[in-house]
Amino acid sequence: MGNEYYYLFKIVLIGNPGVGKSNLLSRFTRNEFNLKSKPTIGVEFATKIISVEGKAVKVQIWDTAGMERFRCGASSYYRGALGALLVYDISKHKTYESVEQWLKVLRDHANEDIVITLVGNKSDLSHAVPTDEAKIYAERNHISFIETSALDNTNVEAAFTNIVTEIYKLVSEKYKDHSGTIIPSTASNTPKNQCCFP
Amino acid sequence: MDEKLPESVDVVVLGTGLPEAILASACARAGLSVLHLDRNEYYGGDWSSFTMSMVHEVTENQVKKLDSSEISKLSELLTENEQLIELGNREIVENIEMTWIPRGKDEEKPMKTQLEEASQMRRFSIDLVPKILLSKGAMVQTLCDSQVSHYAEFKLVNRQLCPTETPEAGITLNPVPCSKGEIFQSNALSILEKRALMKFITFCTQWSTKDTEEGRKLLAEHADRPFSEFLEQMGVGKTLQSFIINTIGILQQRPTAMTGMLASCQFMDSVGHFGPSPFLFPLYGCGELSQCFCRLAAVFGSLYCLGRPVQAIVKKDGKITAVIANGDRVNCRYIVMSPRFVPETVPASSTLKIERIVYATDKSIKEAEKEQLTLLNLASLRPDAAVSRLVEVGFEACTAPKGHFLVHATGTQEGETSVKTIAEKIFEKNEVEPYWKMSFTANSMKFDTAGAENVVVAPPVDANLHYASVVEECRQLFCTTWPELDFLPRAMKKEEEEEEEPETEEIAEN
Repeated sequence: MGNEYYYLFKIVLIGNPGVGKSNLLSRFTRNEFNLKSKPTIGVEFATKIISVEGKAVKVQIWDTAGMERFRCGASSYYRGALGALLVYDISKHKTYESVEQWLKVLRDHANEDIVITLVGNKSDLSHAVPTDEAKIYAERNHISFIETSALDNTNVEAAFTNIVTEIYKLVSEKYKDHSGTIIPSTASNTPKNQCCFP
Repeated sequence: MDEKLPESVDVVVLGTGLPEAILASACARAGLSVLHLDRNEYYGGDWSSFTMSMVHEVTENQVKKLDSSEISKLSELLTENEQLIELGNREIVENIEMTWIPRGKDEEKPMKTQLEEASQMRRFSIDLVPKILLSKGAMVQTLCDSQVSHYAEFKLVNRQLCPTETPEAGITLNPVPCSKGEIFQSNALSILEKRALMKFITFCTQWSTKDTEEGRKLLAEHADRPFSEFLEQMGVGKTLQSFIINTIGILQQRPTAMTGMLASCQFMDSVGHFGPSPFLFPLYGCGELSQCFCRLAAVFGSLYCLGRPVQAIVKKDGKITAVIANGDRVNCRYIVMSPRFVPETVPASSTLKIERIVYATDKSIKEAEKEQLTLLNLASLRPDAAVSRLVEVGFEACTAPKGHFLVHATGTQEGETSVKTIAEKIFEKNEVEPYWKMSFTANSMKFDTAGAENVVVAPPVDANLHYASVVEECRQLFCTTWPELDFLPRAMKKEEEEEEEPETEEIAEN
């Protein structure tokens, strides 16, 4: 697809330290997994262009840079984000218990319309959080749910493409009455049409 | 979770205001290990932005003094010959008054209720220190070099207004043309004035290519005399003089010919870089920049811990050896601290008082077809004061809900007329009724020393319009303390980013 894209969507990764956010990111954007479980340093965001309903969408995925370690994320992290992947570790119940708090952070700092997916990562390990329990919780909170393994590359692509598709539908619906005003852009010569909810 | 702080780091940074954030990012970027602490639950310290729901936090700054039992408990963490020094909590922001203003037109339902019911309280971003970026200034350069520009977005300040006051008409707000195109189209200037202005601009263009000494020679006997005299001998009439002096005066108060020319060239150099105006404003307000630099620090390994008591420092042989936060000891080789934290025993070398008022309104001070970001230099109305200005920003800057505005008045405290009086005159003249108001005094405290050789006191809040002095002071402090390290060096292009357009294009979105 080269560098041409129709939309630029910002998505943020959130969740407790050590649940595998960075590995999800590197697996999706570079098909890499790092077995050393080290804190996130040197990672800002990564991008990938994917096709949604025939349109090229550039996905800009932001990682926390480790700022969640003492629960000190900055509100600026959420500016303009259209989607959030809320990640917990299925083998550590404590990380799932924090999901409620992370949802509150999103309610306080993110756009009201942000699309949220609950992601149970490390599905290659044994479950401390039953799948059904998390699924029901997600339904009750009107968010999507998926289990992934960044290690064996299970559902990683799906987690991202599903949320991007959901954002795409929302954005398309929002701009339905402005057809023709969304300008396709290229990296080299056209200003980015970054979608942000007002 | 209540994770433990590290036992030892190179640098502890106290306070997350913009200067502390810049210094934290420079240290982390240079490979030093950094722990960055703030007593507040939020980023920004005395440089913060707040939503309307959270703005009350600015008044809740209670830090109790350590009592004798606390001191003896913390003293257990000391070793031989070490001394415990309680950290300060200086009143950098004081005399805070916040009030909702009843209006006749809101009789049926107060504005506060309207905003709450529409979930609009969170759409405000109320700056304690509203500033502007000069397109070719030091802050933009630093943002691009460090790639902190990835984390922020900006809008052009697309309207500059120059007030004139007459007894019969009161205060009139005149648009200031900034670019050549605007100059030619301007109705405020006569043909003769336009010609004189273009001549002046041409002179500036030539003058800016000279070095300092040669530039001074060209100004001859005018160099250190009032800029207005120099303009007069160039054939610039009184009205145009006041336009030029007020326009560049926003960058340089009470200019001599030398300083006026430097400011004029600086102004013109920035015009056209991102658009017809030389100035930018950060989306979501100026407090955003603190967070952006903190993110860079985190990307390079800095640890962040907010909302914990930061109690004391430990001194031995004239050096600080540790910080005590939340009852834990963190050993360190250096400390960077906001002026707020400087121990009470250390005298301030100077304190400048800055008058600040923020108004929330639902009408612009000068209505236009499309919403404008506005800068107003009030110097001509307060000739005795060093600083007098208004900044109006609204929905376009993501600092207020649609149809609403924040008007920031900033002034140093000289002369008989306060900047508040002028702001309210302008409101009255233009039928603007604020529905909310916050006033406070910002204390710009400087310290020659913090009582130990390995302590860096970050620059204080100041009344300057833009960020050049903050950036340069941070650079100097960093280079003095760590002479062998680079201050936020130009970042290497990553493979992936070669596909991205140049950073400078990203920094401004009109």
